[in-house]
Amino acid sequence: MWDITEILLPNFVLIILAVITPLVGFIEKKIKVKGLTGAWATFSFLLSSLLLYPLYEEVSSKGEIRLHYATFIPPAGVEFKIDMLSVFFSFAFLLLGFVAALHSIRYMEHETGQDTYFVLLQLIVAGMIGIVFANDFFNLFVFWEIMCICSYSLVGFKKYRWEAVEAAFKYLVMSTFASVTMLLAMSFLYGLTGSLNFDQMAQTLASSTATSIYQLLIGLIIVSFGVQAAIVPFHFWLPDAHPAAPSPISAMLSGVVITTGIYATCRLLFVVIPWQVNIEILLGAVAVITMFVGNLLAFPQRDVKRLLAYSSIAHMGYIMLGVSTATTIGLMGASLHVLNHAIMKGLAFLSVGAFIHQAEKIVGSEEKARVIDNIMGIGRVMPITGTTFAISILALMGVPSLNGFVSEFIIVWASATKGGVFVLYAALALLNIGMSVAYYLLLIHRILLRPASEDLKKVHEAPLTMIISLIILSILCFAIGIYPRPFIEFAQKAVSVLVSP
Amino acid sequence: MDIRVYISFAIILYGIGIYCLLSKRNLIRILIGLEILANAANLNFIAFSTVKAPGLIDPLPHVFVIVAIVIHGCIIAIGLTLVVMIYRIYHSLDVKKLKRLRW
Repeated sequence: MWDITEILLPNFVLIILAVITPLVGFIEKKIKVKGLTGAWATFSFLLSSLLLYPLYEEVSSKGEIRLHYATFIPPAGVEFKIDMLSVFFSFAFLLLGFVAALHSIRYMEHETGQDTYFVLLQLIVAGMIGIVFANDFFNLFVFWEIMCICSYSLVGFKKYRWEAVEAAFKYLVMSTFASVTMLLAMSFLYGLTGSLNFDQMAQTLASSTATSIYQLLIGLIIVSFGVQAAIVPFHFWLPDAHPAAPSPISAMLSGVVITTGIYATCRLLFVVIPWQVNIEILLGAVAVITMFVGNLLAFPQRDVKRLLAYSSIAHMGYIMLGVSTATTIGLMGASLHVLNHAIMKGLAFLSVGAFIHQAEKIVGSEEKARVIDNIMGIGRVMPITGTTFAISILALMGVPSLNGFVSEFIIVWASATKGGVFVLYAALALLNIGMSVAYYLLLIHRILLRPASEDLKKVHEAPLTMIISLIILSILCFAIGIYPRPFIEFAQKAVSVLVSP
Repeated sequence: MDIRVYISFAIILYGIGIYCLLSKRNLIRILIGLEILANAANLNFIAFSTVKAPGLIDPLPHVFVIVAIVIHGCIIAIGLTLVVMIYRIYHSLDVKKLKRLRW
């Protein structure tokens, strides 16, 4: 049987605590204390983060931890493997889950069904942690679908609004198509190797020579995970689904849920399928097209959340470029950018959520409060939230001394030093970063520098819990930007799992 | 029977599912298309589980397929809930009506 310390994995703990959440919601209604459910969810994320630290200690001493039932060893059973890459990604997921739950306490105060909301928020993080701990397709698929089902429900959470249900349906159809394609790719891999376990598959595949079937499989895998990661031909659902969700959920979806697609692509392409086929150039080209589409389509947007969603597509392009170099330094930049993108995009969406929460009564409705022209100059009336919003946008822009600069610099440098066509890709990535500065500056100008209208002057500063969540992320932005060394070393240890230096 | 028969049938089913997703306008038919796609993948799994060794059927893919069927049931349930909500707002099941989201 499993040891008791092994059952205390963050994903299992989150699932167990999520089961208790409706009970807390019931007690909240009985004793009439507002925000008890949200406080409970925040506490559960804090507890799971504390459980991550002993895992980190153990992984750094042993290299990896493997967990399975005693009598069901891998060919017949399922297995968890926890290595540095898993710990790195789960750190980003739990961090953003914690601040999103803290922010939601006040953001969702006027909505009904708060207990449902917090259960789904806990399960989405549990699903993502399960994905990064999985070492076979069974666990990967089950936790992937837990994450996806919670995402659909949360996108369509405001079910009385046309935008939410329409976007959720579109997301459901495209994402389910992707997960079914993943299931087909899994069945072919199982047929080739006779096992569902990643390590045993890698051993069998390394000695076989069927190149044409590899090309089919790599194509299927890139399609299936590319839909979740919003790689360009499959990005159509993202700019609809992310703005339609409540703002803390937009932060979760845009910050971390789409990066699970990148994680799974990395894990399969570097660990399972031998890198025989020359696909670096194809992946790099896809990454560059993704950047261009994200940045060019962000220009005409008038809705601030939609603009940030398009900027997420562009940032997925930068991460994909780092992955496609297939060198230690490029992958290190890519995984550091995953953490940085989670922090800065989370901060941007949470700040916008604070603007919307404070201004929606005055402007009229939430949809109107999202249009940039209606909230022009709101940063002047809400100085703290305005400052954190400016920090996040400057970080997304890649200004030195903030965290976005560090990882974007590493990615471009890795691409440029790889040589060949990657020098061109690096130049195009630089062009894209320069191009994106234009709309980010325009956003700062409209939100922060324009004078506020008479109506908007009545808006108050955001509530305390929102401000705490924003300040935690802002401090992290500065910390990684000014002293990136420990984070770079952490990322370097993480990617040493994928490629040996 | 030869395993190639099953695999060809699964791939044909996959093609039918994609055709259904691309051509149908009714929201419920689109969900049925997703189910056809899921069945293609499940059938492929079951077919491959019989060829691991002669006379042996690997139980793990069967467990996997049962879990996958349950998961797709959940997804279709959420999809049908969304269809009910869409019907309440638009009074129609036509996917062409859902075009207010663009750009």
